[in-house]
Amino acid sequence: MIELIEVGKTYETKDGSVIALENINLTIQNGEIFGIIGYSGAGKSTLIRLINLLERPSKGRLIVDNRDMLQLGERELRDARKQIGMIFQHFNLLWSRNVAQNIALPLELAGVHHKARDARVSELLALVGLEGRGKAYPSQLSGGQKQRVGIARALASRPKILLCDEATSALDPKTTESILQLLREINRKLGITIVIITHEMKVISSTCHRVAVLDKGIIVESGAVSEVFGHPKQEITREFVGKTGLPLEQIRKPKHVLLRAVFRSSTAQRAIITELARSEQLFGRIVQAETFGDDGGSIVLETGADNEAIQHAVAALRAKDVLIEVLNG
Amino acid sequence: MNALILNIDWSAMLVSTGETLYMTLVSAVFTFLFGLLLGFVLFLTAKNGLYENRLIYRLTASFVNVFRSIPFIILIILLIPLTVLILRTMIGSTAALPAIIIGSAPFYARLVEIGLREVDKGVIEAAQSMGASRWQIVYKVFFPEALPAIVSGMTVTLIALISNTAMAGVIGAGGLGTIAYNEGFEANNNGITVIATLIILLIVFIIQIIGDQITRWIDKR
Ligand SMILES: Nc1ncnc2c1ncn2[C@@H]1O[C@H](COP(=O)(O)OP(=O)(O)OP(=O)(O)O)[C@@H](O)[C@H]1O
Ligand SMILES: [Mg+2]
Repeated sequence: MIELIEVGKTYETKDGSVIALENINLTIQNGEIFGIIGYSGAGKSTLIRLINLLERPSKGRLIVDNRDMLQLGERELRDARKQIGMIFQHFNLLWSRNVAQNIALPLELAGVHHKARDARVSELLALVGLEGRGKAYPSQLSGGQKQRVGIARALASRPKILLCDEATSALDPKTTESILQLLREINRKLGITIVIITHEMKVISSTCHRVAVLDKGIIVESGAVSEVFGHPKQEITREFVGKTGLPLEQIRKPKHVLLRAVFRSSTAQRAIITELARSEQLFGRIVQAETFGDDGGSIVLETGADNEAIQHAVAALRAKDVLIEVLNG
Repeated sequence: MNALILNIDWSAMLVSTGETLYMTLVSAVFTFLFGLLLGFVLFLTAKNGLYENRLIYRLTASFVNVFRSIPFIILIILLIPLTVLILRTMIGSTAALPAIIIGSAPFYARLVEIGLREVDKGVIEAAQSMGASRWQIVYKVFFPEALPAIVSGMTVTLIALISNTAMAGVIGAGGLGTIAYNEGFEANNNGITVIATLIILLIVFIIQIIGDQITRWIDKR
């Protein structure tokens, strides 16, 4: 479990102090995928870098797995960091080492015997789908492959937590989805807690369980993804919701109510189809649709139904784990 | 052309080449070691460095800057007392070594420092996030990541260093510089100067080729 208690971070610069984070209270549970979304400069990187103390907070407390991180000595901090893996937007691989050697680095640092190291590296190569590429150098890999190496390296010392700072922002949509799928798989198979920083709504809606919206150094909204994006309370959250798929402005001016339904399981998907089939009045036309992952996706419907019918359908779908919201009106 | 070659004492030329190679080789080893050390100290003790230390940084930087700015020919003269103290002689190839090393190491140190500064900050951050200690970051990340720059910097330094051995030759260090000056220039035997120059060029070319080859071989970017 990761707990940030009244954490603040101020940078002292030549032109005065910059408040990057203010009064952050956040609890991330074991085994969940937690997303932090915000615009550029909101303080996302600062926030995630506080968790492994690459950046020290100016105030507040940080507890990771019941350890008060700010009380640790240098050596204890290094040991604590071995329990927290991290991946980066620009991968940060050592170009002087090949893939296998990159993955082995954390093990070398921990003094693991080379036989055990080799065995672990093969395991990790298989986990991230890079069997046989151990001898390649980073410069010979695509962005997606580099991030797979980054993930394998971050997992080498069997951490309990994985921090991802814009891990997919340098990748195209298809590669992004494959990396997110890998992260979901890791979370499911290994039970690792994952913290994802992003400015892309799609990353949150396809992968995260809970989310915090960060705006100018302050968490303005947080909770279960379906809660936060189903009933966005803040303007900025609404802006992000509008950012899955095509910009809504591109949709022909709707005459009626626009509904967006996001599903992240085949059950939820079936619920949507059932609901549409059940209520003839509800179905108008599909103005937008997309899929992510194995079972995830979203559709935007224009419906001519009356308010009552809409409210009824919305309630029914929310109960079935469909993230649904009215986009206009 | 025939007349030129006939007038040359080839065994003396061979001895001089040997002396130049000796001066180059020995001073190269020490320049490499001192320069590498100074370069790392400069980089690591600088502001925001891994081992930030104002005092050590100031001292090292002053030393490097001073000795890098003194013209080599003056440096040799300045260092005569030191040379006599260490080596008990002020002439011959060995006597030229301290000046050559002290003249080249600061130059190389700057190249090493520049190479280290070019190492991606993100990679250092990644190593820190893995729980690497400062020393582990130095030898597992900085050194291998900067190695191509360290090697190509050494190639550049070696070439400057050879020109210094020739200059030291003029004041009696022996080697191709001495033979070109004494036997070639003073005795008005241009053939010797030309041949000595060609041999120096050959040595430079060989070093350049080997250096580039090694750099290419280790540079996996
Ligand atoms: N080392 C630093 N010194 C001074 N100010 C900093 C430093 N690092 C970050 N900041 C400031 O803190 C604020 C938050 O920066 P941060 O990098 O956390 O934003 P971000 O949300 O990650 O943005 P992006 O999406 O562009 O990466 C910004 O105003 C930035 O200028
Ligand atoms: Mg950032």
